[in-house]
Amino acid sequence: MEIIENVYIHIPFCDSKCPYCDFYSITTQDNSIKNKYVSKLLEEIEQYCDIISPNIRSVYIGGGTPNSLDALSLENLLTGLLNQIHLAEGYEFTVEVNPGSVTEEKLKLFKEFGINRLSVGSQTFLKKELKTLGRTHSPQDIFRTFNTARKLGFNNINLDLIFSIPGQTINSLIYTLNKLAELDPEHISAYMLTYYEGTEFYRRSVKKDLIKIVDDIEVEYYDFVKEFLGSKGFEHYELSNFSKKNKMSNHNLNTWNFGAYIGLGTSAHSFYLDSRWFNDNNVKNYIDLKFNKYPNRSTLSLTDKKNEYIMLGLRKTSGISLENYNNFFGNTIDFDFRKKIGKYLENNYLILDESRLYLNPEKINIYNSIVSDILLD
Amino acid sequence: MNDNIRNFCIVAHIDHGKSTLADRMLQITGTVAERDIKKQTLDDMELEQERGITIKSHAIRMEHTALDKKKYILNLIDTPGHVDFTYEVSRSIAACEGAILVVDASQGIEAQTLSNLYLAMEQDLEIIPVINKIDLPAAQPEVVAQQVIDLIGCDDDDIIFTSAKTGEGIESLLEKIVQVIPPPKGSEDKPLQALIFDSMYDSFRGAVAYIKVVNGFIQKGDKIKLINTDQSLFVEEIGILKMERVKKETLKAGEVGYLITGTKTAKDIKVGDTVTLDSYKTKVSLPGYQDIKPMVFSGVFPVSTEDYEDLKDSLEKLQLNDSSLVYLPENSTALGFGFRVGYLGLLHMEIVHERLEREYDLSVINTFPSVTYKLHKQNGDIEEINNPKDLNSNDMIIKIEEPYIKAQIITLTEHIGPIMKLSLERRGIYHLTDYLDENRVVLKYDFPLSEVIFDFFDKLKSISRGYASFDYEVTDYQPADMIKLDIMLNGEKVDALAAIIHKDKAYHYGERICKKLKEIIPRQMYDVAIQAGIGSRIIARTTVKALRKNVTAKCYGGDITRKRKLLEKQKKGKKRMKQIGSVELPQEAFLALLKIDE
Ligand SMILES: Nc1nc2c(ncn2[C@@H]2O[C@H](COP(=O)(O)OP(=O)(O)OP(=O)(O)O)[C@@H](O)[C@H]2O)c(=O)[nH]1
Ligand code: SF4
Ligand SMILES: [Mg+2]
Repeated sequence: MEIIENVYIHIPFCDSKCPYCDFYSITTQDNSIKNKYVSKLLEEIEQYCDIISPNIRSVYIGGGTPNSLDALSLENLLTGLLNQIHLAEGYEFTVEVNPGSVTEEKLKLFKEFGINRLSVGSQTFLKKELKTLGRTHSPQDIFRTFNTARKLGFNNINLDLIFSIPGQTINSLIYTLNKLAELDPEHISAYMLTYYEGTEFYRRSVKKDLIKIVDDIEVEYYDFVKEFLGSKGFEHYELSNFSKKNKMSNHNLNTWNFGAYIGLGTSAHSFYLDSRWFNDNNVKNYIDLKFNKYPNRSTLSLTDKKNEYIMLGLRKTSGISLENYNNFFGNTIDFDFRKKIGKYLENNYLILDESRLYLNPEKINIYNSIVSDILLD
Repeated sequence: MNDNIRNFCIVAHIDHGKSTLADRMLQITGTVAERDIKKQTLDDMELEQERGITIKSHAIRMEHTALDKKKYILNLIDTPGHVDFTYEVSRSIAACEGAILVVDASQGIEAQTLSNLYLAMEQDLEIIPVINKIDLPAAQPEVVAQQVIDLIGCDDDDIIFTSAKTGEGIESLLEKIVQVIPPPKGSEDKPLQALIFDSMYDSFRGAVAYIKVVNGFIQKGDKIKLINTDQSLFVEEIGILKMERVKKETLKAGEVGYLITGTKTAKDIKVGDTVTLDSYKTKVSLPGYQDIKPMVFSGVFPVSTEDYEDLKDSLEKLQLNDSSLVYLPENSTALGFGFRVGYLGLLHMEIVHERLEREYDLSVINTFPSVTYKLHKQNGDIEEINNPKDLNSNDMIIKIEEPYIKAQIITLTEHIGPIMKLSLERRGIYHLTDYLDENRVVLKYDFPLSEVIFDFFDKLKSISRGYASFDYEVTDYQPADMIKLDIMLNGEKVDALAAIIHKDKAYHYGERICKKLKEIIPRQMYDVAIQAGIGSRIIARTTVKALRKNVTAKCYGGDITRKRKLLEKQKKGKKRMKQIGSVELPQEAFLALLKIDE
């Protein structure tokens, strides 16, 4: 039977709230809350020991800002965690860090606990754009963090990039991309800025107080990012993700491959067999209330599962393995989706070869239009 | 004896305060409890309340003790003021002996004041002129009173001055009604004759007929005959119309009420028909109503083809509520099976559309409306068409005729210039100017119906800063240089987008339509070429460039369900579009042609 081999841990604390961000986090400075939060995390993991594998292949600590925990809490967290789970051979252990606030001391601590991958929230290398985004770090902070990490021996680093920031020009994008390339990380996540409902950016864009980059320009930026990173030896392996050889994010690949995972902490989601469940967005309740197992659980129908499989799989440039689909559902993808994908195959929007179904790279920019149209009813 | 009955309707130009005046009467007579009085209480359709206009006539019975201490039964029918619903007014008038003609004290006489007055006079109704809204600062009761006197030749003291807002003058109005409106003429002792003046569909009880008993009486359990449709039915329930229906055992000559036979088939009950007893040897029908001629036709198609039967059913029920509605099946290559529906005007079309969507929960597409043209063919045949797809160049047509109207425009003298200019643009033929007083005139024009039915009134309102009013009736047919304008999407003709247009305006329209469609058609996965053409000649073209970006940047373990729902929603949105060949067309595209000047 399938067992969960991938763990996500959410640290819902940030020093300040960025106006575009829709992740759940609060900006408390109260360390006792953070300490309690950590102990509850360890309690939570314990109750799922029956479905968690003895050999964990990936751990991802994200947020929020994990490094906003003080050194002691971090140590407690990592010690406690590693007491309860066992990392498999060749594991991947990622921690997100904020270049404005992570210290050398904390990076060292991560290294000591066996963390072998860092994801740095760099976003852009221009002061003005960082300010627009409401980020508190400077371009120098990115260099400092990156170089310190390298010095400490981290050889798998992701840099986050946001593009189509209001006011961004193709020249400022090129500047940022060049700086990125100079640092030469193993992995880059490059996101088109999204205006999520409920965020300050969303409200401001509705009021036209923030001028969005228009779609046609945005798509040119996206194409440029793809081309540029390609020329620097990065493989474009998912809509927004690029990596050097063999440095893809295993943790995220597991998600796109429809693998099981468990999420711990506020707002974290889990997926196992037919179920998805998630914790509420509320630190106080998380600390104060007794856990119930599988909160907010919902069951996926077979159709939901097939649709999610397709939706996630086609995000990858390599698409969906026909064999894997067949193994998972017991029938071929052609059998389920033939009617839906016919016209897209004919027009070369989708490509089906002997082993995979994938999006024509030229049509990636309209992924939503295509995928929404082929979902089963 | 029915000496104590008064049947009357309230008629006026739109917005002069008919329904509000009715509110006050309902209040004073205690027909509706104080707490249940709202604005325009009788406008009980959601759409009426929302838009603040009356769409359907509404009958209600009130009881009132007059100064002579006697109790009177007052049957009031509130009518709509908008020109599209004139038919409602004429039907109501046939059930009454008197009419209250309401005139807004600040606006004075307007176009529908005249047309509705003439309707009432033709039926020999006793007219009570009422000048309303005297509480308004801009009210000019004396000036308007003089207009009214000149118009109907009444005396000063025949006019009642009211404010439906404050309630002033309502008591005197009720007294006047009792005094001057004659009681109904019919007799209880004669054989039963009742006029069906309105009907509605009740989802529990089936068809409900609103009747006025002219002669004789009708009782629960009677076996009745509907003369024109030749239907024999049993009276399951009768009663009078208060805010709700109130059951009675008998309705006698002069009384207004309702009749339920339990028939579920909407077609059985026809407005204008006469109810009599099945047992009579000779059955004499009352003068019914003139069959009404729709002004415009448009295709109505279900968005999803499987809703066709539902649409058919709903139209049938709606027709019971709205006897001016006519329809025939229609078949379109682009839109599948649907109906060609005839309307009295564009507001009527809009209302029918809304009611189908709201009351019958259907999603429907309306195509571009057309008036009825006469095609004279070489072989001497004359064919009437109201659908552009029936106009084919190879049909050996020697002449096309289009309907003309006589229009009266009432305006302040200062706006005559711009109105004349507008009329010229609309191929209007000027006849004469009548002075109502030194500031206001009636302009008389002939127009092709197709030139005024769409947006003429809006234009008129805007150039006259809201003052001009407009009324018309169809008179005759005259030759016209009409052509068919085809619209092509990616090279394919879309029959439901074609229009019949005057030759001189075709180029202009073609360009505007292409431009408008470009605004409305969302970018899709492929380029969409839009072309307008006459025969094989393309006169305008444009392209909607293929969609370049529609992609969710982030999708991780935390938001998979949400992202799936997002895509599913997008899929649903697509379903609301109509797939025409390779192109997805939003429903509004079909009506966009109406708004090409915006
Ligand atoms: N100040 C003032 N306003 C009034 C009076 N009577 C009506 N109104 C207002 O005039 C507007 C139109 O009133 P309605 O009663 O809906 O007019 P109507 O003649 O029934 O209109 P239609 O049924 O659409 O033809 C509303 O806003 C009323 O509140 C009045 O005596 N004084
Ligand atoms: S630091 Fe990261 S998680 Fe925190 S608010 Fe900013 S973007 Fe969101
Ligand atoms: Mg009204």
